Amino acid sequence: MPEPVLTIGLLMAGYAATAALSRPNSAVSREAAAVRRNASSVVERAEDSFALFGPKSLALSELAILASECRGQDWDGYGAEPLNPSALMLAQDIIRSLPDDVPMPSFSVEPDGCVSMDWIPSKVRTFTLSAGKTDRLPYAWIEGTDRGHAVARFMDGQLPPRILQEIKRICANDTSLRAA
Amino acid sequence: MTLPSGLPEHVGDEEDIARFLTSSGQYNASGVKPAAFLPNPHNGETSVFRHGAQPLESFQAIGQRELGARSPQGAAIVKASVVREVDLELRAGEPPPLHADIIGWPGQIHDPELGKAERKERAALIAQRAGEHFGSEANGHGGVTPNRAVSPPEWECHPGNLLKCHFLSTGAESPLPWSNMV
Repeated sequence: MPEPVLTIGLLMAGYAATAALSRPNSAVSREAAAVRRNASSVVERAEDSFALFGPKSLALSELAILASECRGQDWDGYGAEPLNPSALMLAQDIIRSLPDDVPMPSFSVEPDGCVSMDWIPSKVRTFTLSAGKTDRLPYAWIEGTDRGHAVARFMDGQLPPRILQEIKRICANDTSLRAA
Repeated sequence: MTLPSGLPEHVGDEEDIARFLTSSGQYNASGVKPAAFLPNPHNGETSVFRHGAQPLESFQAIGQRELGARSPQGAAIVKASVVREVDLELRAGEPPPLHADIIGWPGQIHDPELGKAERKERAALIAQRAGEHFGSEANGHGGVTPNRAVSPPEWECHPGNLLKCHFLSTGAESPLPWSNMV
């Protein structure tokens, strides 16, 4: 397939699908490699453009700055592990997958090298989710006196709908958080 | 029993516990984030310092000495009682002077991710209360009125304890940005 046609096809397929295609996988054919190259190129161009990508682009930039800050051993002075590259990629994938009506999180790196994605609209409301080395995502929430924790799975490039609903509910009526 | 620092071995509920913050990701304008209190993966403990009546300079020096090349950007402070309220415990551990550890974090060896989720919940509960002590005092309940404006001017700190600051604009408590204090 000629490259311009392929690129247009990728754009028409939608950003989430294109982002998924851009990730490394086990495909080995020349065509598969071409698809991945083109998808990566499209994703990079989209993320370079604030107009096209808005808050997601900002969030990915913030994550990149944090990654740079926490890439070394003992970045916290207490013996923390360096940021895990797999965790960083997973966090980036989660950001790209967020629907437009879900606010962007803020980020921190955890002592074990995972990425914490935090939605903290107020002192009494928190939703915090960890992106680590696997697709199983530990998360916890606090809403007033209500609180809990569990594990969700990031499958097919998407967070489970109940997690997205929970994030939206906790962040409801908060204007300080950026929508995707 | 008294420790070399002169503090009692038992960490009292009313003591302030400080966790030095070395990454910009550990806090934002709203306050301290849960990750700041998560335990070290190697020993399962969160290293903290007991914050008494030390002047700012000496406490800052402790952070800089103990954290090596990583200069603290601030400190998150909670009462020891907050740690105990989430079923964790504090154990004094000198040297270095004033050092203690938050211990008793849940493990869940059969499901590491579930254990991590539980630790996140407890860390979030502690982070949520970080600075709360100062907030209630600043609101008049403790009889203390912050009266020292620092640079940048949106910060205001406890007159006798410059580690306890909050944002004037929002009233939100916040860790002290060392670089803005000097």
